[in-house]
Amino acid sequence: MKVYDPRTKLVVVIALSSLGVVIKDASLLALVLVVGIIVSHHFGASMLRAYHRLKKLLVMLFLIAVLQSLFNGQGEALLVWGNFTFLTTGGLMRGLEFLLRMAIVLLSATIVATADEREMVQGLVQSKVPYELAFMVSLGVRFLPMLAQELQDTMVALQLRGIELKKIPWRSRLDTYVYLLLPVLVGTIKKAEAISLSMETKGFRARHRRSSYRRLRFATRDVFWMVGSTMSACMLLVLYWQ
Amino acid sequence: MDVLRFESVSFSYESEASLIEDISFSLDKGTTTALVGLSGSGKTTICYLACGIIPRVYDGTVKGKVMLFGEELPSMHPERIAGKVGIVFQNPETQLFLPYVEDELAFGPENLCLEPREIEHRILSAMEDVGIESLRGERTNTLSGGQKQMVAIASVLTLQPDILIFDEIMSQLDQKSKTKIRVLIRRLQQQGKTILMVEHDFENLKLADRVLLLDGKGLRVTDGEVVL
Amino acid sequence: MNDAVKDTVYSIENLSFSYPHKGGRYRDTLDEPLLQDLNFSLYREDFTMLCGDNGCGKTTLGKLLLGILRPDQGRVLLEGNDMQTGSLAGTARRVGYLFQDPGKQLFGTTVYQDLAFPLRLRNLAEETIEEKIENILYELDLVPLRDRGPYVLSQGEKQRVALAAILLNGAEYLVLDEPTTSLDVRRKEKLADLLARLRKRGVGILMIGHDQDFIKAHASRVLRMERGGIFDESL
Repeated sequence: MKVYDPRTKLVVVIALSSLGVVIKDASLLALVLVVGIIVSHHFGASMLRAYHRLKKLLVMLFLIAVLQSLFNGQGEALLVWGNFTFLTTGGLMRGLEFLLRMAIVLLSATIVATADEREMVQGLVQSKVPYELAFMVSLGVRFLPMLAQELQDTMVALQLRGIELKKIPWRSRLDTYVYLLLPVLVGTIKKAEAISLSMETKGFRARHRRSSYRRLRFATRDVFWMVGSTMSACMLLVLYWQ
Repeated sequence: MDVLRFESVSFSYESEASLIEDISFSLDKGTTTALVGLSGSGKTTICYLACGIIPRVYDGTVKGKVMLFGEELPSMHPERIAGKVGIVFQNPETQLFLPYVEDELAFGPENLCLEPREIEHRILSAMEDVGIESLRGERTNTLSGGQKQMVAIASVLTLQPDILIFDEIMSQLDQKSKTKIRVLIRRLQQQGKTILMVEHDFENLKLADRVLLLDGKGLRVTDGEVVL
Repeated sequence: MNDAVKDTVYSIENLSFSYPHKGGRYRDTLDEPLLQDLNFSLYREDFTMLCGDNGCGKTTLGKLLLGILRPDQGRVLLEGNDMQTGSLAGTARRVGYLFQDPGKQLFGTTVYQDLAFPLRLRNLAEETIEEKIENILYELDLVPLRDRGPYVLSQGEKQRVALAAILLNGAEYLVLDEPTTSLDVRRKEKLADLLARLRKRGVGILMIGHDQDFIKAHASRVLRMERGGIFDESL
């Protein structure tokens, strides 16, 4: 696996996801997706693992796509029942576009995920983003799994109190979720506080600047990818608008 | 010469009962002092005052003076405090916040804006002191509790502080890791570091030249022999 | 003592478990199971201490016993039933788990509310609930803390509240994860007294920890974990 500068990955991701957002044509989106898959694979992203982790989200996205395609009314009718037209070619295309778009965005995320967090911070700092901000972003990203873990631990703890979450009727279930909230919040805040103490006592934010023992340098392949992805994205957009 | 001195220090959070009252003691350069006392006797408060967390992070009413190398600690710039006093906390899980061990070790010197070459030098020497050379490229979240605590100590050593504060750093570790940390503390003592450690463990008190007992009424000092 | 006359709570058969592991910055992934082919039993009559170095899998084993984690291979039998078939809540009625940080298992705004809400969800009458709670508060020396918030309590107090909750659940076997870690000398003794009283009531105990003094003073059986294996040191 080749090692790329995190800034290169950011540029590629921006190019890919802006194409995904702007283009409203299923066949072009499909093309972008295929290119995206190849690029993502080249950058060493593990799409399979992302698929396993995001299964629930994918199901939800699929349901939204189905909803989007129903009752659209444009194009030829595909599914008619009595006086109601459920599905039309236009609707089908709308749903398909939505799915493709989301796939491109998620794919971009897998490329970002291959970057080393510390290097990503460095990449941002070297791109003139203030270091406090860059650090906070990266800590925030690290915090999400921590929050998820905290929530999961608390769910387990609640069940160990003898509460069958699945058997509770809906109305009391809401009350039960309120019980979850307090320990999750307290736990997360405590962790955050301890970490910030550790950072402060090591002189974080004592100065306006901070040095770095790692400096990122662009390699030839980084330049190639940055220029290449920006140019191809622009060209595709120009062609698309014409 | 004393490097850290408390002169009749009291502390309380706004409108609450004071956590410590009229505490006076001083640490001589190159000595190791153990701080013992029951939970809630104010040991952690003393540690926080000694490294400036109080009043920089936790605001409250401080009476008396905390002097670091003859200067009033609260008026010193955080950067200078960080280069003189380092603190390691009890919980190994909440002191590491970067992806890899080497990032963690570089964090302090980077904050002080040191040159990359100097940082590299400090990383190497801290790893050698602590004996964690093999962990340099490991992900911090895959380390054991003992290893994490060693990394936490090393990450403070890269700031090259004269005074080290250890707030019950061994209480969550197993025997093997405890032994390793004791050996490390002996090495730091030989290097001439001044150490203040909060401890419950009898075995660890043997490392200290002197034991300060916090018994709710103030400090009692015992030299050499431990009286409990 | 002859095992045949003891009351077997847990039988662990060929248990193996490993976590997915990420590689380092300069090396690739390395995978070897944390627990490998463990076989042993736990009895209600014992105060069993489970010791071993950090990272050897003690806490993981504790979580497998409660069904929080599922084994990769092998079985965990609780009173003869495979854990795979039961729910967490069902297990919790028979086995109580005290977290290393007991603050994580307290939910209510006051100690009383915390102990009451699971009972309310079981549709017990309010008088029954009150009676049960008053009894347990008295037994665990918690009466003065009845209306305090669980988050302002000391570690030792939180532990006793969590134990009260566990006992209200009807658990008759306890798995304690390093309960002495952040207790000072006086609070350790208080915990030891409490555990001794529970044992007299017939509650079995498995305590995870490496507190040598505590082991010497209280354990009737010592299990040591090392490199994926488990050894009975009291034999």
